[in-house]
Amino acid sequence: MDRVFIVGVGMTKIGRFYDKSGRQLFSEAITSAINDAGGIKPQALVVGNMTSSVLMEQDSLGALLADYSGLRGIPAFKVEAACGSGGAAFYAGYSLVRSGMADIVAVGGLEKLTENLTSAVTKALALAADQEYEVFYGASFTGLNALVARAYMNKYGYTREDMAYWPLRMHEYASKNPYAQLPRKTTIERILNSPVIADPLHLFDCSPIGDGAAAVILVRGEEKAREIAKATGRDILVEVKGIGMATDSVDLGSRRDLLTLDSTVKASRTAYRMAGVEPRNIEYLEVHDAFHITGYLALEDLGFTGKGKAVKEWREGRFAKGDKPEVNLSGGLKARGHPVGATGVYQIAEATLQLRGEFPGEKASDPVIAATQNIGGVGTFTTVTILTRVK
Amino acid sequence: MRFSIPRFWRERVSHYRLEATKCRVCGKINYPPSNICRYCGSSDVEKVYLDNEYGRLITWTIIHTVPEGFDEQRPRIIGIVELVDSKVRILAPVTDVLPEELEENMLLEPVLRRINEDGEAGLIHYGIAYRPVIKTIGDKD
Ligand SMILES: [Zn+2]
Repeated sequence: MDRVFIVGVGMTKIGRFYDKSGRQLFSEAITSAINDAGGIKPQALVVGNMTSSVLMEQDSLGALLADYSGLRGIPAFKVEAACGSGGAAFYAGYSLVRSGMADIVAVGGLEKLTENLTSAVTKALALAADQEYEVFYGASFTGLNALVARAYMNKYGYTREDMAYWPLRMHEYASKNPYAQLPRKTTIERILNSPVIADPLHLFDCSPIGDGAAAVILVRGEEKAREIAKATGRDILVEVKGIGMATDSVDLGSRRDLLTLDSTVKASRTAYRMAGVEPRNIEYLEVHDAFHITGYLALEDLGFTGKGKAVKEWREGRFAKGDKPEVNLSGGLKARGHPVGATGVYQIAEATLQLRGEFPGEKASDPVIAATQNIGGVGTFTTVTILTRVK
Repeated sequence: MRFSIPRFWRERVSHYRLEATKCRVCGKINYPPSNICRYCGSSDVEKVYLDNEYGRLITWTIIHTVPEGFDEQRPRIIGIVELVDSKVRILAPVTDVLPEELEENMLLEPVLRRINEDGEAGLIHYGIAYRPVIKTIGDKD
């Protein structure tokens, strides 16, 4: 079996870039990933993106971005899985390398949101939901997550204040991350008093709307990975040890259990089995906290704690820097930012940098095994990846 | 006009009468309806209608930042309602109620309401919303 390694990563800062087009942002991210990998040229490109058709009014994204990244001619295509597009693109890119279709593959993610009206962005993001039976009635994407948040808070007796410790910690970590959209600390009071978006979710319970691009370079075989590591002055490799993807219904009404992300349960089991690890082995974790509720559900459904316990344990200090696993030292979607289809690629780039000891923000405590979880919709898609450091 | 007319014409019965499909193999009711059972994969299904059932409010949200096209209906209350007999869960607007009156498990009844309109010259979309049942009628408690 051929092993797959991540040999280069690149990210742009997340924010509002009125002066840069999507293709410019993307070319910056992929150029830094290629440089990070010692200048090797990808033989194929897979791009994660959700809203280009609607908000950039641009299809043919794979070819466009390959062309403006100096890669005209190579196989290139977009993968869409709503907010989980980045993870799904990585799943496709990994498969190309693992199968032998290509030896060197770039996986990128791009989202360009901020130059549109908020109501247009709200509508575009709601395309993740069932148009004919959810959005038809005026449900927004935040509203759908709010339905889950209220059901969770009612069932386990948590208050808005209990839930607010997620965003509090994310802002603290993001304050050290040079790529973060919201690199500043906040307070419980400010979180609780922020404007309501879809009750019980207020602005500070939600990830911000931002533009961003990220890319990683995958290669097949330890020999090639060693050669690149040597050329770039590194003595460690980062290997993709496991990957799993699963889906659930798009609509919330027909879910088996409104408070379990079944796709996360299934994807993580597949990834753990492939990597030969269990949750207790994982030292570093990036989860998809588009809203505080999805962050807490991720910890439960990935197997790090029992149902209904994540909020209590988090508030008591679990999953913080120094614990096992350390979670979202990037600041998470909440404060690093959530450039929708790029987010899953950001998570993988960040976990790679943590394994190398090169993350430029809050550093993890020398992890060897890391995991990322990227969801699309309210758990409609999940991709889980397991990365390990190899000496 | 921004929306295709066939899209809404096609769904009128499932929007107006909550047309669903019941699987003859596993017995589950699929709403939204599906020709292939979403729970067991069987294609042996029959049509059923769910618009004559009361429901209980499972969870709800009060949406202040609404999607394009719903600006005049702010804030908008959306709930997930579990029907009392079939146990099917329906996502729908909750109407004729103030946000502070909403309670978990409150008894609701279906009512046909205008949901939205496609600009000044386009279709008016109707669908089922749920409103509180007045305590003295219908309910056992
Ligand atoms: Zn069935």
